[in-house]
Amino acid sequence: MLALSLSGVWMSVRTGDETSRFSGLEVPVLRYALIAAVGVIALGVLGEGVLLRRWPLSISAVGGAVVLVVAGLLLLLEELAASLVPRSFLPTSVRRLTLDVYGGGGIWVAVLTSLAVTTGSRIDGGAIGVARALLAAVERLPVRLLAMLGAGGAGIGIAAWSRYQPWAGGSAANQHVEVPGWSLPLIGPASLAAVLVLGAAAASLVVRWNLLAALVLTTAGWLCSFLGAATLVAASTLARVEVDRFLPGVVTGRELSVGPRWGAWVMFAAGGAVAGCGAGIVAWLERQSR
Amino acid sequence: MSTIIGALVTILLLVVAVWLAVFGGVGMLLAPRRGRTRVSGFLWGALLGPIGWAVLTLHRPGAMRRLPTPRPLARETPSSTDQPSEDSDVGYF
Repeated sequence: MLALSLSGVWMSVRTGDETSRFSGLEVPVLRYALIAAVGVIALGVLGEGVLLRRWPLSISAVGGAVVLVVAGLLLLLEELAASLVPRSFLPTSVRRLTLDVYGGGGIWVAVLTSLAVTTGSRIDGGAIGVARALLAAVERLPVRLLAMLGAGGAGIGIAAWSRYQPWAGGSAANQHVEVPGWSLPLIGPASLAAVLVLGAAAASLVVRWNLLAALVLTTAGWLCSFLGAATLVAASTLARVEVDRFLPGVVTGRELSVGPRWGAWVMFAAGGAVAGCGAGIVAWLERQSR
Repeated sequence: MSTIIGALVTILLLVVAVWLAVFGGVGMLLAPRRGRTRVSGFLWGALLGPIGWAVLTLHRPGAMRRLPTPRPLARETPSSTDQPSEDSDVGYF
């Protein structure tokens, strides 16, 4: 699966209306390191695990950690790249061509799979051991907490997905542009951080039920909801401005419009739902500790 | 004018209402086990957000009262040699 993820989309570059996509095997320099790391993992599993019957595995853990660090850092850079471009220094003609860089399905699969490989290599029983530990942790969860964590997990998944959906849009003279959540300045990186914190808090609650993780889950859920609301407020306020009145006569009558899109509503709803699940977990924990 | 009112209503509904529901609501949940009323829990959460939660969870009711009360100092009976005589200047410096 890790080897397959290298052929998936690792980097997408959007300039204006065109989007170019690159696989992990097309990323300069890093592709050699990634291929070598995947080879090391395969050799480690075959050599240490199958031939020498030694466990936990060391070589494949190192290989998995290399892929995890490379893919994780690249994903972080890609997500932050759009907000790091100093547009104010660009000439006006170039500023119109918005340059956006973002990850794809391949790099997300690589991050998750390499994390599973690294963890599985260091735990007794490998992947089966990890699955058993997770299953045991889930079985220990009371039904109510399990239901709330399940609903919260679904909300986190929807929130992560909604970042790549259109949050705001504009149209003028039959030209239509839709802006996804991840590419909005400040809101894009902040939503990534919020989704990552949500995931970490939910995972922490599966392992150990503690109040702090529930409060962090609630706060990060609220942050997701706030980021969606901020976009909705900004875009709907802009939509109320009669732009035509301030433009020269040549441009008027071109049906200029700016407004929010459904992605921001989805993030607002998903964040609110996760915050609600967090509050439910807080209530449950408070009742248990009485 | 209608633009401003519309924007204010949107902000009120989407931002302020959610803030009050999430932070005030959780403050209400945290308060009773820590010796506070639900109303004060709501106010702490609604006014200060996560900081209000921290105040609610970290504050122990009656923590100050549990501190050991200081013992009264042993009163020493002054001996006749320690007491300055009315004629001497000891005690004025």
